Amino acid sequence: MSEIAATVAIMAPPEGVRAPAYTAEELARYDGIVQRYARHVYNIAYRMTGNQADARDLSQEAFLRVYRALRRVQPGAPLESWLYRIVSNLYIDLLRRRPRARVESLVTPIETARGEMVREFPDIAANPEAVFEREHIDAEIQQALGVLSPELRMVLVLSDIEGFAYEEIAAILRVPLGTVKSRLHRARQVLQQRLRPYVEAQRRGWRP
Amino acid sequence: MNHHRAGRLLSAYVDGELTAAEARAVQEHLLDCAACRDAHDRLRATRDLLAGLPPAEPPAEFWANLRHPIAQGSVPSGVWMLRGAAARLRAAWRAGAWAPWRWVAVRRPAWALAAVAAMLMLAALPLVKGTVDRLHATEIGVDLYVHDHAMQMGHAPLVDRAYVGLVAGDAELVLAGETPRPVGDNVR
Amino acid sequence: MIRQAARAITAVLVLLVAGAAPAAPAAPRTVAPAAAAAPVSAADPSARTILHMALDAPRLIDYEGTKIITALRNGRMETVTVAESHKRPNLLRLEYLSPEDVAGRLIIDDGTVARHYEPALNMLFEDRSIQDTGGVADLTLLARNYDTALLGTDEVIGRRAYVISLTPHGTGVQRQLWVDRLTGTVLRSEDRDASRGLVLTTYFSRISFSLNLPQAYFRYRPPAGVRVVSLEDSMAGTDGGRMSPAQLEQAVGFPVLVPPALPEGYTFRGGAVSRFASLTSAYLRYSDGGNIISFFEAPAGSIGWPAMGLPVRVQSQPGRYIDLGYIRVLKWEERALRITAVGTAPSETLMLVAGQLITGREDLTVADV
Repeated sequence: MSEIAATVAIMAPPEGVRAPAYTAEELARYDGIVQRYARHVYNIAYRMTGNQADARDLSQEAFLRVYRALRRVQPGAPLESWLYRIVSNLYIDLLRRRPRARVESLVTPIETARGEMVREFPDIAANPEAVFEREHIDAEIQQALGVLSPELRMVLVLSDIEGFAYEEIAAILRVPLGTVKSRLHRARQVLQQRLRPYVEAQRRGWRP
Repeated sequence: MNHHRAGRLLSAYVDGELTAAEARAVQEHLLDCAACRDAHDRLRATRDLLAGLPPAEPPAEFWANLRHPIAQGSVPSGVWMLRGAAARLRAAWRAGAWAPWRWVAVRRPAWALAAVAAMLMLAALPLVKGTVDRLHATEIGVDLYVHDHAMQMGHAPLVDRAYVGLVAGDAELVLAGETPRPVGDNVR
Repeated sequence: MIRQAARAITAVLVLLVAGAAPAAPAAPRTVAPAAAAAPVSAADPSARTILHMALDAPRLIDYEGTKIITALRNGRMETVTVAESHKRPNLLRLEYLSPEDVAGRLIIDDGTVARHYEPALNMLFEDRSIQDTGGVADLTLLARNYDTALLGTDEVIGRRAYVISLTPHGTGVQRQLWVDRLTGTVLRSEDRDASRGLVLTTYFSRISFSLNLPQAYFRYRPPAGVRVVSLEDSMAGTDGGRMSPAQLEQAVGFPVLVPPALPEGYTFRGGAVSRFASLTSAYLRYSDGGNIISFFEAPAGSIGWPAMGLPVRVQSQPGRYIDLGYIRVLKWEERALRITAVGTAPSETLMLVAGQLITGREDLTVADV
C-alpha cells in the first residue's frame, strides 16, 4: 500500500485540491451538463486521440474544468463552443507532453518500402460478415484520421462527425471562416486518398 | 468560374456552405467538368463515410468518474501519462494483484525500453551448470508426472499457456528439491 | 476444411483498434453457459469458425497484457496474476506478479526452449517449449467428442467478444472461451469439470495489441551465478511424443500397456519416453480432442509410492488418488508396473479409463481419426 501512496503523492499538485462546496442545485446542474455533452465530448476526444484511455482522460479533464468553473457558467447556456474548445486545447497539450514516438504505443505500424502502414488480417469466413466489415472500416477510418495534423483532424471531426456548420466550427476553434473551409477541404482530400477503396464503395452505394 | 477556383470550393459546395451566387457558379462548372464531378462525388462519399461512424462507446467506469469529480478525490490535471498508470496501479491493488516488485509499475507499459536494457545489461558471464541436487527417483512422488502432463497439455486446443507455466514451474521447483509453494493467502 | 478456406481468402487491410483497456480488473461476472449478453444472429460466424480464428490468432498478432488466473488448487481457488506477452508466431513471455510466492517467476519461451527463472532462488530451469504442441490439435477428434456452440457476444474489457463453448459428450472439461472479434485472441476463458464446476478461469484485465513488439523483450540473459536445471532431455528423441506402442516398448525396455481407445472418447495419440535422473517411464498421451489424460508406466520398484492421497481400488488393485485441484492423479500397480494417470477429469472417469487400460492390450499404431 505504501508504494501506491508514494506514487500518487508524486502526482498530486503542490497546492492541493480545493473542493468548492456546491449546493445540491448546482450539482444537479453539473449533472445535467454531463448528461447533455458527455457523449459528444467523449466522441470528439476519441476521434481525436484514437484510443479509449486518452479519450477518457481528456473527457474527464474537460469536465473537471466544467466542474471547477460551474458558477461562472450561465445556466442553460450552450456550452459547445467552450467545451469542445477545451477538448481541442487539452488534446494539443497532450501532444506536447508526449514524446514523438509514444511509449504507450497501442498499434505500432510496420514501415514498408513505400512508408505505408500495412496490417494484415485474414477474413475469417467465406462470406464477409456485415458486423466485421463495419469494424474493419471504422478501424481504417480511425487510422486515417490519425494521419491528419491535429488542426485538420479537429475541423473534420467537428464537421463530418459531429455535424457542426462552418460558422460554428469557426466560433469553437476561434479561427476565421476561410481557415475552416480550407482545412476541411484539405482534410477530406487526404482522407479520400487514404481510404480510396472505401470511398469508392461508398460512392457506388455498397453498404457494409 | 474557373476550374481551379471551383475545385477549392467543392467541399463547401457539398456542405451547402456557399452563397447562392457561388453555388450556382460551381454548379454550372460541374455541368462541363467531368473531373470536378468526379472530385465532388468523392468528397461527398468521404463525408458520408465519416458521418457513418458510430459514436465511440466510453468504457463502463467513465460515467462514474464524471460524477462530482473533486468530491471523489480525483487528481486534477497534472502529468498525463502517469495518470493512466496510477489508475492501473489503483485498480491492480484493488484486484489484490500487488506484487513486491516495486518497479513493475514503472516498467509498464510492457515494452518500455528501460526494462529491456536493464535485463540486457546483466553481466553475460558463462552459465555455470552447477550440480543439482535432484530428488532420488523413489522420492519423486507425482511432481515429475504432473510436470510432464502439463507440458503435454498444449496438445489440447486453446489451453491457457500462463496456467501451464504455473503448473510446470511449480513442479520444476519440487523436482529440483526446493520447497513447494504453499497454498497462499489469496485463496477464497 | 473451414480452416483452409478461411486462409485462402485474401487478406484484408485493417487497422487494429487500440487495445488500451479501462484499468478496472474487477472479477468478471460468471456467465452461465446460456446467458451471454447478446444473442446469436444469422449474420454471426459459426462456432467452428470462431474456434479456428482463435487457433490462428497467435500467428497473426502480437499482444501484451495482464492476465488473472483463478485455478482450483488443493481444495481452494487460487488467484495468480501474470504479465503475458506474445510475439508472433511463437514467442511467449510470462512474468508472474502475484501471489508473493510466485512473484518474479519469469518464463520466456521461444517455441523450442522454455527458460524459467526463479529469482528468489537464482535458479534457471531449461525445458522444452510449453507451446510445443508438436503439430495441429486434434480438431477432428474434437468435433467428434465435443459440441461447439456459439453462445452469443459479450464485452470483455471494452472489447467485443464471441463467446463459444466446447462441451464434451462424455465427462470431461467443458470450456468457455471469449474470443476477441477483431483479433481472435482469447480474452477470457472458463473451464468446468463435471464433478466440481468451475476449476479454472483466466481473463485479461488489460491487453494491448500490436504487430511489432520488440524482439529484445523476449530474450533472456540470466544473472551471474545462476543454478541451471535442465529438463530438456526428459522427453528427448521421442518424435514429438508420437511414438507407436512398439517403438515405445523398444525404447523403454519393458512391456507397456497401450490400449488404442478408452471410454469417454479418449484415444491413444502417441507415446514418449520420460527420463528423469535414473527413472525411465513410458509416457502415453490420450486425448478426446479437447482434453488430455496422460499415463506414465514404470516398473514397480523404480519409482516410489506416494505418501499422500486417498487409498482407492482400481480394478481390485490397490491405488492412490490425489486431488491437486485442476489436475488429478491416480496411481496403481498392475503386472509389475506402476501406472500413473494424470489429467483433468472427474475421479470416476479416471477410474474408468484406468480400469480399461489394464484390461485392454493391443498392438496398434496411432490411429488416424
